[in-house]
Amino acid sequence: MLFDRFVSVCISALLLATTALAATREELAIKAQKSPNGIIELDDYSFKDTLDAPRDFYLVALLTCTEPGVGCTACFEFNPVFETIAESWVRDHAEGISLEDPSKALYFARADLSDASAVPEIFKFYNIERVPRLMFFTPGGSIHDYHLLNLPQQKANAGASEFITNLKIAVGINDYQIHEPRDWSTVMITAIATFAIVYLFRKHNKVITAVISSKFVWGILCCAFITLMSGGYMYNKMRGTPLAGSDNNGGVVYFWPNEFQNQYGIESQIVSVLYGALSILFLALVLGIPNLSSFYKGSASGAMIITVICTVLVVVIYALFAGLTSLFSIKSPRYPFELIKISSLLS
Amino acid sequence: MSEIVEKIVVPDNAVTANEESKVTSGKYVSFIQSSLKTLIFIAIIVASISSRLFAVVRFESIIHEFDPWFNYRATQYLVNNSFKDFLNWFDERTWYPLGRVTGGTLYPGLMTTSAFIWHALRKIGLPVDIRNICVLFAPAFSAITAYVTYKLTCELKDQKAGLLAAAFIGIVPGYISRSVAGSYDNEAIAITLLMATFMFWIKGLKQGSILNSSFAALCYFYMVSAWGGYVFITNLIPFHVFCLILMGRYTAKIYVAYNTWFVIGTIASMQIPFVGFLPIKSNDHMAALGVFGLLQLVALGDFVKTKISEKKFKLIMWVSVILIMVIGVAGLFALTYLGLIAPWTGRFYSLWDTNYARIHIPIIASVSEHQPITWPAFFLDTHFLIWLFPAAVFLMFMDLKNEHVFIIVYSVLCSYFAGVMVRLMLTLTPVICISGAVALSKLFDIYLDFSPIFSTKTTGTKKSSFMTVLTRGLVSASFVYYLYLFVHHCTWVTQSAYSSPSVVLPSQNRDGSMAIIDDYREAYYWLRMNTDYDAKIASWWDYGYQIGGMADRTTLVDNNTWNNTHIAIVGKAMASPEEVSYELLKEHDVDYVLIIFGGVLGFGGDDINKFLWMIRIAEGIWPEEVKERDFFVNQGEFRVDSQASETMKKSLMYKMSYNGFADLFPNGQGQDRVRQQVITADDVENLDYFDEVFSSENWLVRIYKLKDLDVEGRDLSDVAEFERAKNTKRSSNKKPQIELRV
Repeated sequence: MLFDRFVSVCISALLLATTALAATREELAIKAQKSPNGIIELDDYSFKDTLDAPRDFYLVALLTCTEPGVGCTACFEFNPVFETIAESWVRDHAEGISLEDPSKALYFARADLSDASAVPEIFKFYNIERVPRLMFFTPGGSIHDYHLLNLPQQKANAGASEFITNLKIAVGINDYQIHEPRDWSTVMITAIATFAIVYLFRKHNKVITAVISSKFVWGILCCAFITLMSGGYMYNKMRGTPLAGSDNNGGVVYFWPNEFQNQYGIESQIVSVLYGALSILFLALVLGIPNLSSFYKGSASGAMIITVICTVLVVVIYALFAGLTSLFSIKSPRYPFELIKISSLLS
Repeated sequence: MSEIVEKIVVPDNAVTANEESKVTSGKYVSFIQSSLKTLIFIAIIVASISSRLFAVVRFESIIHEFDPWFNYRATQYLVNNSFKDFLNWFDERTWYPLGRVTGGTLYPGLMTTSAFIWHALRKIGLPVDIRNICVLFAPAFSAITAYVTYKLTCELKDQKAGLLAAAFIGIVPGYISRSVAGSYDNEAIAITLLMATFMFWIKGLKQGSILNSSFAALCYFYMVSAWGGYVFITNLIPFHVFCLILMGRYTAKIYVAYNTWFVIGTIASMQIPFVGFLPIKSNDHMAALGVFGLLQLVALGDFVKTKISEKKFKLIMWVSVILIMVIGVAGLFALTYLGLIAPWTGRFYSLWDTNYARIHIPIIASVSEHQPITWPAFFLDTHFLIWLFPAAVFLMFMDLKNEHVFIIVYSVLCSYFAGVMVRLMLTLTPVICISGAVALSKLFDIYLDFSPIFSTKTTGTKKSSFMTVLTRGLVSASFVYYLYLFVHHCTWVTQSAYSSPSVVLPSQNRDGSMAIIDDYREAYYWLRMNTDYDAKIASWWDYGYQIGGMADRTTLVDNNTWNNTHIAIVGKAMASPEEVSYELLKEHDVDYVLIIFGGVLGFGGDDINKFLWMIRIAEGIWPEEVKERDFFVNQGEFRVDSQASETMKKSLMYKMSYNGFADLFPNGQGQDRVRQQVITADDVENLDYFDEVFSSENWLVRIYKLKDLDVEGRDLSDVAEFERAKNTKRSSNKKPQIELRV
């Protein structure tokens, strides 16, 4: 009995001695719980202890840079995603240990270059030249054994869930699900909007009814919607395209040249505005001019005015349409029917 | 041919002018009008058919792409067997060894129609090859579409708009994209039926006519039998009725038209084996059922209203509305709980939440037809009609009769769906043509009226009337010019973008003359002539229909993609090392493996470029054995040259693609023209379990035969090792003449 205890003490002493340098699960769990989002911050003193062998846990380390002068937009974008990823794990696993398979533990760590004058040791240690870097440490390896992970391709919560799915496979656990942080702003907006609508209804019942049953309002709404859609708005929304691109010299490119399957966000805005303007001009010809001529009926100057307006409308429509075709020929350079080159069209 | 196309526009305006100038009346005018109309229609039909024949003129009378090959094969089966056999057709030559219940899993409308035409032509003594019927099917139906669209637009405005709409739909690229000669697909007939259903629906609604609504139901039935996109009608018509009710426009006419259409249409559609009980089960059809119920209640309310006082009616209305809502919600919950209906399935979300499919259903996300659409594609498909479209919808609001509500609803819904999914552009195009035609004919109504110059009794001076005519001339001229451009644009798009069969590839010789790359057919014909009739061919699913149609050999997987696991088996075989693949393929009785390799030719759509999808799909089933990560080199790159990852080099697909590739080049430095990487003979390991039996002229298609098991029971790699030790001389490979082409 006494001997048993002695042996166990000896063994644990031995274990302690061997693991004196490396961090244990318990230490990491305490550190993780202390931080607001379950991420262990790697400072100059602790990072070697945390990452060094022998490990019996998985660890994902993010090396990032929030120093504004560096201007790493990817870092700023990915930081909240990483926090969501870590928080989701810690919320269900306070100890960082998988509930299904206690042999597996997972922790998240981060080192941030927030001040250019004091570059953290870990950046020098690993010779980091590019941020953000995601390093994945598996059990058993040394401080030098790690894989680099790719950043998720998607943005925000979709990216977090993509990353978690991959991480689940890499670690071999199933009990890991994303807890998306609740976005209170949408709740607030909904509440205020609901309140405003109800209030308006009660106060200005007649006006609201008139607006709702007005075919002009509906017509304009529908046309705006159609214009938006035919400008390729859904493509931007689903693909999350950048607003504009840049060329080799750093200049801004509004139209992705020679690319039929791709577009920038601003392209569909420009094109939608063009469509809208062309539609309005057309409506002016069909609806406006007849009203105007009945207004000026019989007067000689009226005919003159209408002629001038019509000519202007026709010329502007032609100009806008020509602009549209030349935009199209940026996307499709072989397009032969550009309105600007009138000479080529009459052949 | 573009000359013919141009002609449409001019007589069109002639009629507009003709009709507008109601100077004289009498028999002559109406005679001239009707003969002009006939003439215009003939011109439209000629134009719409002839612009679809580019593919036949450029290449030959051949079935295009992938799915049409299945439709063609099914039609051949129907022509050679009875209709009953066709419906009970179990095809054991695809999805080997599972087979496919083809008769119960296809939309038979297309095949039945062409078989009917084939039989009818034989009856009148015109035996036409079924292939030619299939090839020319889509152009012929596009002519009918033009006529039906004319009828539909007549209901909206008048004949002038109708003729314009018919001309537009005849040549608009958005519709031609799926209906060129040889594109023997369900959409070829479906758009015609879509327009016919809508035309009869609007007629029935206007007149409250049971006859027209029954025709609408019959067209709907035909549509259900032909295309899965019938769900669009199933939702659009109820939504139209729902909007009319909301606008307070309920009449007995609507009641009659909708009930007739719904009852006949639903019962008829349930006769299609593939559809079966879907119309009363699936959530796609719930809107139609719901509006049917709602219409009964509204009719009841309408009746009660005439019998009692207004005060009592209000009370009854409120009570019944609350009662119905409670019962409805409770019923929905109960049915969902019991598992009888499943309204909140993935498909439901994927339509509205556009990110859902991308994250949760990768197989949908991977198909290029399901991608969102960019603005140049809209412009390419409709030219100036795209900016006329919003204006036209606004003009519909100015009239806002019941039929205009229909077009508005159609436009708004469909422009959303087309934005989300590229293939739905096809259903948006007709409404763009129709509303564009209506808007344009309104413009011409005003500005093509040159009567002031002839009339002397106007109050204005001669100068002002001259000014008016000048203005009108200017406006009309500019829009006639746009029409002229439209015709040129359509012809250009059709011939440059939509007329390639993709079975034979166009190419250019060094001197710029046209060359045709015919490797696919060469390879499929080789299979047909040189392999056993019962030979099983393993290839990636893209080529399944073509192998079935052209080579008439049994395939493991095809474009029907109904069984993901089976596809993953092929993916695993391609991604695994030879010995594993050999075992797997032998288990499935495979005799030959066919791959597409574009490295020699520079053809980007080859199997190495699709390889990642094979790996991903295989990984989905066997995450332990196939890992996507292993195929990348450290930098996350997908390489095929000497730096390629070990797993990549060992994979069957890699070995088969680059087997003997370096020997083609004089210095042994194989230049892959797709991936721009250099492959030497040392990079490609020996292929011990497979024999190369055929490579097409430009190496686009390569076919390998599985070696027989060794008679002495040795491992095949040992045999090959032994043979190599015995005989170090390499066998020389057939060299394609790659210098010829650019």
